[in-house]
Amino acid sequence: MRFSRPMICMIILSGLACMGGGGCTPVQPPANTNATPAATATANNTSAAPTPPPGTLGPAIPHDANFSDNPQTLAAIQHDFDVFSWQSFVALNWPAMPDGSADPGKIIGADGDGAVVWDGYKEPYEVFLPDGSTPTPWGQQQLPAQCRNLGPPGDKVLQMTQKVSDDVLDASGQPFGTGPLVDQQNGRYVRYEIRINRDTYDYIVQNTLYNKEGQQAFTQLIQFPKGTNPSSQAPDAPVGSIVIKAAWKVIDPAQGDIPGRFHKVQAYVYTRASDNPPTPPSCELKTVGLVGFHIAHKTASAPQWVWSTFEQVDNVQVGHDAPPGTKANFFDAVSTYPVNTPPPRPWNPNAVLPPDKRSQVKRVIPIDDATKALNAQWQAWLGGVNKDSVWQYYELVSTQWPTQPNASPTGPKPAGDPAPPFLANATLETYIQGNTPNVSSSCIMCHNNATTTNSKFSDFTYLLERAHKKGGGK
Amino acid sequence: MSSNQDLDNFVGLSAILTGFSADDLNPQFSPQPVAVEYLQTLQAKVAAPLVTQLLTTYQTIAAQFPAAEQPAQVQVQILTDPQMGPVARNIIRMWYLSIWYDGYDTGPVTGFSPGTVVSSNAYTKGLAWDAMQAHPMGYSEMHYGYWATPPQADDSTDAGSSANGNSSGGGQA
Ligand code: HEC
Repeated sequence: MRFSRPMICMIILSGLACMGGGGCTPVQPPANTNATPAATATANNTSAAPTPPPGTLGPAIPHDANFSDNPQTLAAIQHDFDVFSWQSFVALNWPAMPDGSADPGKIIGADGDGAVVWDGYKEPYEVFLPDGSTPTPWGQQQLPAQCRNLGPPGDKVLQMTQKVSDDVLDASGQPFGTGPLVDQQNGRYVRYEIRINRDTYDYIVQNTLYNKEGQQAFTQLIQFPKGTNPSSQAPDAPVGSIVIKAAWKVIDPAQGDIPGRFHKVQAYVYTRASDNPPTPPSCELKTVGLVGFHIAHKTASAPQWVWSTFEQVDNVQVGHDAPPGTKANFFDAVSTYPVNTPPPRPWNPNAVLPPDKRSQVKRVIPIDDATKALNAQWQAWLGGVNKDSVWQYYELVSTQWPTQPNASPTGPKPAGDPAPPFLANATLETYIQGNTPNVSSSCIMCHNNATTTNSKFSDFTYLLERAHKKGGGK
Repeated sequence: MSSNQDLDNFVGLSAILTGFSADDLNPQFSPQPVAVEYLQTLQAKVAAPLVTQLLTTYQTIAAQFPAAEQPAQVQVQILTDPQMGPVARNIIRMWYLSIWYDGYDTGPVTGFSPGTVVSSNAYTKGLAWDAMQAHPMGYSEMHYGYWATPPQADDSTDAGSSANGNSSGGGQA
């Protein structure tokens, strides 16, 4: 197997050129970013921060990784996928226009924090409707009843309080003892959100995979579209399926949060009715900050998808450039609460936990040195755009990719021997970190178990398990 | 510590002993190369001069004979040798069952010979499972319902069905 370097006709524009407004078209990501910042620094850059190679900080979501030339080694390909992860992170968090598309006249972080591209992606609850009916068209949102009439509109509705929602808890989440995560500052539950891009949505809708009957009727192998980098032969090559899972924590400066270190939104924090403990449905409008970010992207070089995972730098220890007194989000050296252990039951998403019951999270597998170096580079570039940019306070944990991408989905080793073999986000796979096969978190290995409602392989996404019957019911 | 030369010789010899191709046994981009673990196990369990004799004997065979004739030479020069033969057979068991069996040099290994699973990684990669298109207890990548369809000759994975000695090169482009 060779991870081939695609022949693309690149239009390279400086990302910074976008700041001046005017005709700034989406740029192709460069084939590699090995150029040293010093070598590419431009004369008009007055700040001390390094300037990224032209086109690096751009609004174009890469359709696939670009592989550098020989020698191809495990480490070299890992680097290429890690660059792909950062380009994806930047493009997905690029400032959005009102229609949801990337604003080519802006640059990430230059004008502060605001609406970003993936905000416009659909949420599963809008696609897998309780009555199995056809989802609303791309671009329209539906709010739960408790969240209407709350005054000013929030940007998001955050419902999920555990890593696995009720809809699929019987899938593969439960045996791994998933539980809620509680932040140190506020004692509040972290909330989760899933979003899907247009290619994913279209595939589900076009094949009627949004209800049980449709899934039953679909007898082929489920194959979400793969991203391919555009070339002169195929200028309209698809971006491919992208699915995002994000983790958010409540941000309250009065409790010691430093808002300038988080991407923040106003969100409806929605809690479903529950029996244990008895909880009525509720909805509150809160400021929340992004603490974890998964990107799964199906590409031509990775039919098992590319799995990128990012965290806010203060999650398990205080990150770079923190003001004195900053506390980690999920670790406090003086707490005696056991490490990497879910909070005591019963789990009530509306509870405010006392300091001695708040989550104590440690990273079990450290971030690789090469990824750390790449993080420092991208963080510096993001900080170079604006010294107050929130985006410089995120880090890539790693990117998981298949080393045997040609493995057949119907063969004995469909997962394609992922590298790295284990990968976890401290806010999303908190309690299953480690390196025991079948037990510890491996994105591809676990998602390889995902099925439709009629137990067919669903191409690594758990989304399709959420479908209901036409007319209602499970 | 083993040199790359040792690893190359070990993988080359193992390919002849197991019938899987060298690329199947030690894929180029393997994130957890089990071949490395097996060589380390061999070096930890067997006296160094014997390991060296085994690997250099193979190296000489590989240098002197065309590929098609090497298996017969391994048979004559290694498997029938009273010192190297039992070690070579234990290497085959290790690849297929992920276990290093003790007492291999004192007579035939029985069903209940004591042994050690090389690692949790090795446990998931025993060649026996690939050869029969099945999976070890408690670890399966195969999709729900796979048992309802007959096993297929599948050359598209890292360890395809090349156990007949016609190595497929793993089917990778
Ligand atoms: C132990 C199993 C497990 C592991 C390990 C795991 N996930 Fe998931 N993941 C799930 C489940 C179950 C869901 C569905 C959750 C839901 O719908 O509430 C999910 C949802 C997702 C989603 C959105 C919905 C989907 O299924 O497409 C993304 C994206 C995702 N995970 C990425 C990752 C990444 C990246 C990693 C590795 C860092 C990872 N996951 C590790 C089980 C797992």
